[in-house]
Amino acid sequence: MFKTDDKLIQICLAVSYAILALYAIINYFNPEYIISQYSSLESNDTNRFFLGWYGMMNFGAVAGLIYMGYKGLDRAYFTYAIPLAALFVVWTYMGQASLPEDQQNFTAMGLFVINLVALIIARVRGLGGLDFTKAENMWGTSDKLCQTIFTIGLIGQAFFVVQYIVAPGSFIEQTPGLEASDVAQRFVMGLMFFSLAWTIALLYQLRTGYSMSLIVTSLVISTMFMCTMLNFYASGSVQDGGNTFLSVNIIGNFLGSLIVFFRLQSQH
Amino acid sequence: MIKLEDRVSVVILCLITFMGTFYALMMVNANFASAFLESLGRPTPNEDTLFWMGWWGYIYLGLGIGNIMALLAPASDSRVFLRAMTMVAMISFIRVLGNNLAIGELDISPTLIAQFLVLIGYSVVLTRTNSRIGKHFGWL
Repeated sequence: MFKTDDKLIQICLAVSYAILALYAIINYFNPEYIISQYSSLESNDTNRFFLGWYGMMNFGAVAGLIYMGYKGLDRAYFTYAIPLAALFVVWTYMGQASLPEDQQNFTAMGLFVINLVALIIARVRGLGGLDFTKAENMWGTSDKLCQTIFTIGLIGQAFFVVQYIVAPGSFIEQTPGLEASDVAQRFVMGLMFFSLAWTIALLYQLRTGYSMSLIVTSLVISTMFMCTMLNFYASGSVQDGGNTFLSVNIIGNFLGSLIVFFRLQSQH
Repeated sequence: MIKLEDRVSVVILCLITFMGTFYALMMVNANFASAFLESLGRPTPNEDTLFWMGWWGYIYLGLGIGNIMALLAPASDSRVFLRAMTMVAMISFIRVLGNNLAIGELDISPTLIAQFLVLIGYSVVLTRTNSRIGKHFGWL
């Protein structure tokens, strides 16, 4: 598995898989459990919306790990996963540290630290030092359409990070149905961390070439987002037309991931 | 990466997987499931109904993953799966059709159309990959 005989690498990635899958399943399918575990979380649609979002992102990361399990370790995946794991350790610490002592719950932070350590061990033992060898072409492919999609993806992710820095509350303001609160704002910061990790990973791929494991990650995430968005519309849960910018992004991500996957998959 | 040799079958399986994922996520989410039943003119579901709908949702997800596995393997490795899925699709379609007819009139609902399309889809895949039922049984 992972095209290596090193048991420690396999165990580390199995641990990472277990933690990511655990949070993916609980966040997406049973957000009430998470809400019941944290006194700072109220049971409302806003919190369930963000927990579902985090769950889908975790499903994507799990898919990337499964892909690596078959195809071998991939530097670009770790360029995405390690910064993200580190950012989420910071994120959970900030969230809990701001609460009164009797309301603090550091379980998630503990698991995120374990995830981060497991990923770093697997990365260092499996792939050695950092490598920024330049690919022959931009994004590692001569396919102009794929290059364009990757570039749009990079701009989109970087744009979300910049938008958060300029106006942190804009995402909640632009999304009808979401209630502004400290907790909701912290969730938006988490979304920015996802975008930051994607920006780092895309910049890495811009230089060293695209990564199929991240394309698979993106395809799983964007398919789940697309199906969830369609369900929101079909159930009539979208208020005042919803967040048009978010809808356009979800559709764009889905189509972009599909096109890139099907155009590049034959080489893998 | 995709090992299924027939392009039309790949497209059909992708469409079925997407549709299955859409329904799966609808059934596992209580709000979506309630809205779905209300759109069919059914009463608001209680906890037991939601539990069983969620159960079906997880089965749909599992079958979707099965479809993806079938995409990643040559048709010769997926024949039993494709046969089984055609049977499942046929039974599901007959069930939906029967439920419709039991009411007394044939209502061409999106659910009925979706089940019919899934049955046609799997049948086409089955035929195009030479996985027809009976083809590989020596006694037929």
